[in-house]
Amino acid sequence: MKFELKRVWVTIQEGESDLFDHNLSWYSEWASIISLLVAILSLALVKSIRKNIIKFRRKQRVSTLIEDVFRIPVDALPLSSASKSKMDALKRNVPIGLFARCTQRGRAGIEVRRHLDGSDLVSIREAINDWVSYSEDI
Amino acid sequence: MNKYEKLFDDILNKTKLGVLEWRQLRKDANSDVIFNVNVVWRQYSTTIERNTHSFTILLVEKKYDDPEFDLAYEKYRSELLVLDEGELVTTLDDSTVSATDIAKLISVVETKSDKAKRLFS
Repeated sequence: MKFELKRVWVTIQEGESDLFDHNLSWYSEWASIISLLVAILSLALVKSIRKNIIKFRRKQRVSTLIEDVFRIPVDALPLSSASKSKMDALKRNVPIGLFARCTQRGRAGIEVRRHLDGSDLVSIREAINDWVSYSEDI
Repeated sequence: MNKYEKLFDDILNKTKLGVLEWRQLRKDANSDVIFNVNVVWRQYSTTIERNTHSFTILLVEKKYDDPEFDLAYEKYRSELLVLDEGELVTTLDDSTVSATDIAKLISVVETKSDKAKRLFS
């Protein structure tokens, strides 16, 4: 009888131990999953901050170049190398996507680039104004 | 070479030859013709004869906070303003004349200005 009781007690203790191990592994699994999610979220946040910084700097660059091109007097012909450099820089920075012809903004961008190849500063200004009117961030 | 570049070359050559005498002005002088006069940190003035008429030239140096780096750094910009009896006729800056040439003019002017002459003579 005494031996039976001891066996039952050991079995209960073993059961509790199994239960404890099971809980521990369950919690640690969830902790790992949550920490992974937190790491992914932090990474996404950092990436989004970097993306926003670059977007802001690109916006600043294009705005500065537009101001520079607008400051070229319309009768400063033939264009000086300084003026041409500003116009070439703006041309490089006007984004033209693969499907630019499908959108009004894209078509306006193409027009800006086309006019920047020439030296008609009045047309360039008008083309830039058209393009800017389609952009919400410039 | 367009007329703006010719004008600038004329100013640069006459400055190098010492024909033009540059005076250093107060930073806040000519505030009625200068955009963002609060960012001006140095200003020079001279008079040039063009087509038997005398024009005032202002060499304005500006420094302002650079938004590209969260306003942590300052940027430098310079421009030349041509005035006729206090009225702005034209502006020459790095959109018309190369920034290198403007820097050359500034380096000559800062060594030949009235204050520099007083200091080093």
